[in-house]
Amino acid sequence: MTLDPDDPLLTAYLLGELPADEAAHVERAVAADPTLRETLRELETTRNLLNDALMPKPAALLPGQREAIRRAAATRSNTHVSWNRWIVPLAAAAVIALLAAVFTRGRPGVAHLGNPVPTESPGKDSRPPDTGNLPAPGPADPGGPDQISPESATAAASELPALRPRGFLAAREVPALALPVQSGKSSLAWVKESILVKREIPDRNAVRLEEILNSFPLRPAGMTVVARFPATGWHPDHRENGATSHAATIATEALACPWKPSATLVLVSIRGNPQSDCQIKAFFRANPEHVHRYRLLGFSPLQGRDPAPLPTLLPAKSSNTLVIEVEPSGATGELGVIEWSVNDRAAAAVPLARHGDAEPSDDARFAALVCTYALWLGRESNGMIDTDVLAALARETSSESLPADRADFLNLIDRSLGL
Amino acid sequence: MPGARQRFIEQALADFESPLIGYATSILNDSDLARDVVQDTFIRLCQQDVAKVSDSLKSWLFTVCRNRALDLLRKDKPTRPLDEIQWKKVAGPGLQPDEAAEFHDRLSRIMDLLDRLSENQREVILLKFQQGLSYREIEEITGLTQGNIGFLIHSGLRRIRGWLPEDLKSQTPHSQP
Repeated sequence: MTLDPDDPLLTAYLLGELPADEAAHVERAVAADPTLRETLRELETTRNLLNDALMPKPAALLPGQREAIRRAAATRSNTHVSWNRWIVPLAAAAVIALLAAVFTRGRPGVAHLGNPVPTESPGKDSRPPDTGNLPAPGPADPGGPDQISPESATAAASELPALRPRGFLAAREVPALALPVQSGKSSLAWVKESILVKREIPDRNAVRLEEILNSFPLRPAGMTVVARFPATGWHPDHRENGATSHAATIATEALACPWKPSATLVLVSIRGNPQSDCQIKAFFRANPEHVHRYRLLGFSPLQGRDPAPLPTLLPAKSSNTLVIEVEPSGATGELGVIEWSVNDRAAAAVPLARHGDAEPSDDARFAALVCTYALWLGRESNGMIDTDVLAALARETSSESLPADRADFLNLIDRSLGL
Repeated sequence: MPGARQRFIEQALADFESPLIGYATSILNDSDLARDVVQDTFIRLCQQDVAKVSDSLKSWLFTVCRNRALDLLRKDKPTRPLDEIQWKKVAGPGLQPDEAAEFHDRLSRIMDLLDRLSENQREVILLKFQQGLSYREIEEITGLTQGNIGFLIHSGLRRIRGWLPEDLKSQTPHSQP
């Protein structure tokens, strides 16, 4: 192994961060090179100086503070109810049968609430291409929980196929990610049904972040790019006829991640035109120089199935908003771009960056709240989102001028926290 | 008789109360506020499912403590850039007056050097040398990669070494890793 004084392995060795084989390599390299020996000695002196100066001295909470913690521990241990009781273990055979049911019931606009009819497991070739990304098989009518009978919802909820939350992707290994342009909207009705009617935290498989998010109209206030159809003789005077050259729009906005301040949430809203469907292919291309890792929130594939190709058809008058959690590797810098095409015609890329001093829009704040709630509800936050974080964020979002649907959502959060 | 959950919280308090207060103080430069943040951190721990956090308790506590402290800093001083945070450390009890004076003097000089580093370089060095966290634990808390953390600490130590006055530079090493 060849080392030079600028190699961080020297410090990693000194701090005991290397496995035995790498440490042995460093020792051999240092033994053979007087310059490395001198560098290591200087690093050791500096390390010891910092250790001496910075080593924490004993500090303690005040007696009242410790007592408050003990009371909280005692209270919790008396009232704690494990989340596990909400998780319904699904036998493999049931999953297969249910997947078959989902294939036919879960498509947008064709959802049914009756008990599934067991069928043979469909072969791989018979699967629709977007199986892994189908909306949750929620109520057929997204009008609200009032139209759902509790009995039918209960039966259906216990049959939901297990979801597999998306993990983080290392920007250097997977710099590009295809973005979905469609999502359902039924999950919010499932959640409302469970919280407001049954007074239960919903089954985690009924919680689909992207569906809850897309139940609300959201317009990110950052960088926006419009793709236009090729020249078709359109003129601004044609506006009165409803004609447009506008094919699709991507609007973005970045804000601090509420549950991890070092991370950034990137909102991407893909909006179609009022007249015709579009084929949209969109990719998030991370900048590995400034991004450590990232993940698409929601859009969880079904467990046991490879994620299928994402749907690319964006129907007329529709939009889809998605959120990417980005962990930057530095303080500032461009996070990446959205590359996209409309009907196979390339559109201008959308640069993504977070400006620390920019105040997020109300829509961005609300989207962040929705994501926080959905991750908490879906038990996907790895303990990083608790009731305090959620309640504080909801309080920050509330205002007297809140639209009715958002005010209802805050009430839903409040009811959820009380369960 | 306390249950397993209460014993878990008691052990967490015994292990991490002091390091967390030191860490929060280094961010907030206020030991009273730091205690409030640490109390809040432990109360949040009480509300968690122990099984979920026990495997990564140290990282969880430091991350929650960090987020709480930074939130407080942003709310109280919304116009103050994070770059200007003074990463100060209060001397603990138990030092004789002359020892305390010497400690404060050395600490003050070291802190002046740390303040010349970039924000993330200063933070990872404090997490490493003040809190004794591993690269992996620092990765979980800051979101930086272990490779980046190793580079920041290595280059930071070398920069500090280059800035050290002769009297500190010539001190005989006596600490252990």
